[in-house]
Amino acid sequence: MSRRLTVAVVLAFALGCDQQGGGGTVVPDGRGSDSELRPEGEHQGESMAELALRLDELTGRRASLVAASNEDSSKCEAVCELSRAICEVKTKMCTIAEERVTDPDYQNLCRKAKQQCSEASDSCIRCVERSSLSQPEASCEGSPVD
Amino acid sequence: MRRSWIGLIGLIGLIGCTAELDEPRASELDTRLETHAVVAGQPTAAGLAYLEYALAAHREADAIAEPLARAERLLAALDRPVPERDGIAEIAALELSARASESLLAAEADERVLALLGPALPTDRSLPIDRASARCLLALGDAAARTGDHALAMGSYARALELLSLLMMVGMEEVDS
Repeated sequence: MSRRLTVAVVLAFALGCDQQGGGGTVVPDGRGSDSELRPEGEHQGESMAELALRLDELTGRRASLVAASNEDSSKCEAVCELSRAICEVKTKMCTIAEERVTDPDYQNLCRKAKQQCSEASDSCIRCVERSSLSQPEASCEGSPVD
Repeated sequence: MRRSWIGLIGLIGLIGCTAELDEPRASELDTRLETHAVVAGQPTAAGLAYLEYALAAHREADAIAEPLARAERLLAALDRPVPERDGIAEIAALELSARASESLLAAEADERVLALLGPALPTDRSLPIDRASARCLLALGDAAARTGDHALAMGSYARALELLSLLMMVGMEEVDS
């Protein structure tokens, strides 16, 4: 009785593990539904020469995209550097304004500087966001196949 | 005798008043900014020679670690007259002034910065829209702030801020194009 019980428990565990592991092989039975996925784009050609031409074209396009993106990021660096400088000046102006709280001219200049700092920061963020959108996917770069 | 005493007291009073007038007075707040754009074009021979001269001065200054000695080298370079009607040479001269002033500030020679940049950056002088102009105005503002001239400091900072904002606008136009 006890041996039967042990065999039954081991069998139950074995079956449970098999279901949880999910390592079974599914054999297609031809009755599945069509995913309706179709190849996109134009026909790329089949011969080696056609594919080589296509590869050259894509390599060239990628190089120009990288160049444009690098140019964009250097422009953004300049914009963001200016933004930092503007906000530093704002801090200096508002520090002086704090010492002249009753002078409306100083208070107005501090207020205006804060606004310019905020606008400059927004420009920097906008530039970086736009630049990162045009950045080609680095992870898509395949490794050369021998 | 009595008349000479009165004369003496009057003279002392007069000297006292003159001494008061000679004391440095706080400036008035003035934030006016005149600017002009520098159009890149064919450099003149004189302009090119000035650029090479300024570059040599910067290179020599690079090798000097001590701020005051570095400033002296850059100030010596400012003795050479800037070719007229040459925007690039004008900017090169402003870069020399900016770096000399920053070195003077590092050496805590604030009064010398005021003496150098105060007369060079009056509010009615048109400044080229360039980072060098903004650096000069910032250095002037820093020197003024340290010496307690709030009006000159605030005015210079406000002008620097306007220039930097103009440069930012130009930068964003380039990004958008």
